[in-house]
Amino acid sequence: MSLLSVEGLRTTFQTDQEVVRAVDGVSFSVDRGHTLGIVGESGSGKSVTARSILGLIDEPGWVHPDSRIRYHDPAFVESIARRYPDRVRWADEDRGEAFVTIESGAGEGGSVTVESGFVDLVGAPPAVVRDVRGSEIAMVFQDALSSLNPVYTVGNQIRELLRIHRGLEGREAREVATELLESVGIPDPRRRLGEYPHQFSGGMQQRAVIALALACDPNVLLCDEPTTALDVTIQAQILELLERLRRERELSIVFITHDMGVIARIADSVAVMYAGEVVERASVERLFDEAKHPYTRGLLRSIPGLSGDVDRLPTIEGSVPTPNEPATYCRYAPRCPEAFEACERIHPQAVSVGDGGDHAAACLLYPESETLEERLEAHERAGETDERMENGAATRDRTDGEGVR
Amino acid sequence: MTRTDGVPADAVGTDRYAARGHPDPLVVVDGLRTYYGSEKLFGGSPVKAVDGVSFEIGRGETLGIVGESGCGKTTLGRSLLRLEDVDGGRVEFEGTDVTTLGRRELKRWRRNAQMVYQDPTTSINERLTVGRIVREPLDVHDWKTPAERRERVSTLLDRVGLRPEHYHRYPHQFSGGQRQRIGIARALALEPEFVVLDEPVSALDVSVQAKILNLLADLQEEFGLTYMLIAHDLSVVRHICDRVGVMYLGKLMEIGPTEQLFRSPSNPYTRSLLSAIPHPDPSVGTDRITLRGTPPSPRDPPSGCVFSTRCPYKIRPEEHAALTDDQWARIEEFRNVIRERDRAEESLIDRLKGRLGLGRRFTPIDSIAADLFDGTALPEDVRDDLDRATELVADGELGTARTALAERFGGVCEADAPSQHRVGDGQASRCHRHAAEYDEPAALPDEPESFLPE
Repeated sequence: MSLLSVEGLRTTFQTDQEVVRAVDGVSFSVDRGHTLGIVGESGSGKSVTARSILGLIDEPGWVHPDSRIRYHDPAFVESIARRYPDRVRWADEDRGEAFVTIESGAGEGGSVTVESGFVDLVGAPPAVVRDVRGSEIAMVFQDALSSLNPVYTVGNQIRELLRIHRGLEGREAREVATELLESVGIPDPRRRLGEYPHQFSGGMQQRAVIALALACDPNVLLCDEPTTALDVTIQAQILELLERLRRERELSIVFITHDMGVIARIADSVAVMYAGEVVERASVERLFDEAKHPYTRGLLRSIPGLSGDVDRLPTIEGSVPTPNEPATYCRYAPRCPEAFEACERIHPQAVSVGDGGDHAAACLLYPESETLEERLEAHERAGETDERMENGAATRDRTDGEGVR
Repeated sequence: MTRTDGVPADAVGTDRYAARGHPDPLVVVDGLRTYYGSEKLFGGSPVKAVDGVSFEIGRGETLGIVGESGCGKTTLGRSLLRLEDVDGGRVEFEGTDVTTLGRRELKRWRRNAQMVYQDPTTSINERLTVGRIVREPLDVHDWKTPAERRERVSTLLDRVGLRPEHYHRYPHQFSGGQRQRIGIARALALEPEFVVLDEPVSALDVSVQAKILNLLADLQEEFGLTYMLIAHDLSVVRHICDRVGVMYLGKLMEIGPTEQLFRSPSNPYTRSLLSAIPHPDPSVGTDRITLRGTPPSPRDPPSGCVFSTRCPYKIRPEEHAALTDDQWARIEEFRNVIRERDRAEESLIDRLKGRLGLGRRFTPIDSIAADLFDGTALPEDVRDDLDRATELVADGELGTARTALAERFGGVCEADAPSQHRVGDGQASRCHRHAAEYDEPAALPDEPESFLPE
């Protein structure tokens, strides 16, 4: 059962010259207590994806209103359903203004109970997104030092969070803060609370940031390259810590990285991103054993040390494009060694390539069981539906956009 | 030849090849020391960034230097090129000691030895065109005629995979990978023999990284270059280096041929470092050693072996053999807390506060001691020593407590710096465990017994 699901997420940045489609139709989901790895090169849209989930996209960027970001925790859905009774819909209803959906439950209004359902974070009012941020879904950023305030002690920053989110003060807040630092493996936590971030080493800073993220006991942790700035030995410690926290707290983790080694170490399932799209989704074992998409295969081959004793590393020609027009072709085609003529006019859709549908690749080479014509037609047809939806939504955006500005 | 690194002459002398190893060396480094902050009058103890490092780099070979940040690998590279003033030891380049060169000779020598820097966004001047950047070394060294320089730059740009029309463009128009190509072209302008590559690909994406590594390999073959590659990415090192040296806190812990070192690392630090690499294959088992803590400050390195504070294979003194692993781990943890406090409490005001009983920011040491030791039946003499140390800490005598504990529980690893041992063909390692009376690290279980579970 997924706890967080993202469907057709589209985030664009409007500049004077062009519209950058940083995230362009991304879908994935994370189950409770599981770790999803999102891997890709810089510029592939990984970080924007994470920021979109928490509503951290600022002007000139915006999340397309047709994107779906759904949070499925029943307790949270229930509390929101009670607070916003007018904006609840039951699974079979069609209500435009609803952002809370109850799939199964009982009662109504302020005493409704929810067994399963979801809150749509794209349509939700800012106050709800703020409630989600930190308390339900928390984020750990790449650069620990810049996520901490240099002029306050670490203890101060944790206590501030506890006061705002949980209303804890004084001795009680100090006790909880000490426990938090201890739970992320910071030795002598009471002393550390009184220290400033610059007095912490890089690994300790990242632990403190994780402690901050855990302060409100979230269910989902979004980690944006949390170990990239660290040495391997410290990286190993942080990965071990996250693994332990996931187990102890039943956390769901979305782990963004460009390092395939880290993915292999920590993820249960993986989404490979390229130029704003997910090109392949699979369990971690299948991704490394049976990667299907030519991009994934190229990426895996270009890791030094993995391809055995070769003098030259296989490389991928060219670089990641910045997409600024709707995809009517495969965005990887210009660099793809297996590209053929149709790749330049048909946008490939994600199709199952095995593992009971849990392994999917967006490439015209699949599904292999069908003939080329059948495949092309299927991809083209799926693509057209997609486009229609987008065009319809685009007309709506314009009016929406005016309202916002 | 004077030995300055505290290694007994015979330990290296008998095994010169094993220790540094190459039959036709281009660069010989011997007991190199580079300290920072030693020139200050009241600077206190200097940071020993490079502390008695010796090795050789063979002609046409690639030597990798790996280690965590702050281990001194970049300083080592810069010292080799005399970009830092060295405090001791020799760097011989084809028989000439470059540490004693005067300004003019140094400038002449530097034609032969160049550097490629880590960050391609800050190591090239944004205000100059690509052509000017690559031509600058030629101008500085007054290389041939201006027309020939221009010609040379075009050839170089072409050679590193840039196009002729890039000559008049500015760096901001280039991607990270292309910028690194500019840096490489600049380093090769004067046809050097020796190039120090300081993390040349760590700022780049993996697919771009592969291209730059291939380029470096091609250039080496074409121009017969000798490389020293500084990196923290061990898979990169494994891919392009002939031999690898592993540094920790200014010391060279282990050196040996790449494949051999990766397959059978001998030094505890090398073993831990290698097992920390996340392998891009989920089916690889989980038997890894996770090091506890972070490297100590190079201003206050541990006594004896620099790795002793984190070493999972640290030798336990014979007299404590009767203690259980858990008890031993508790004692180590206790010492760790005191060590950390001693480090943190360096400021005078803090120390004063502690003396006056104002500093209430610490958990009192006796409650830490109680947490750790109550409920385990320690031998009476051990218990007495720990109690005495607890009292000393409570009185603010952290240093004394540390010394007393080190004497009682430190053992050989904290008492003496290990000498270099030959551990294989052309492979040498610094660790007490290679001495005949102890078990080799490889013979011990990977699960560190001297640490409490987190």
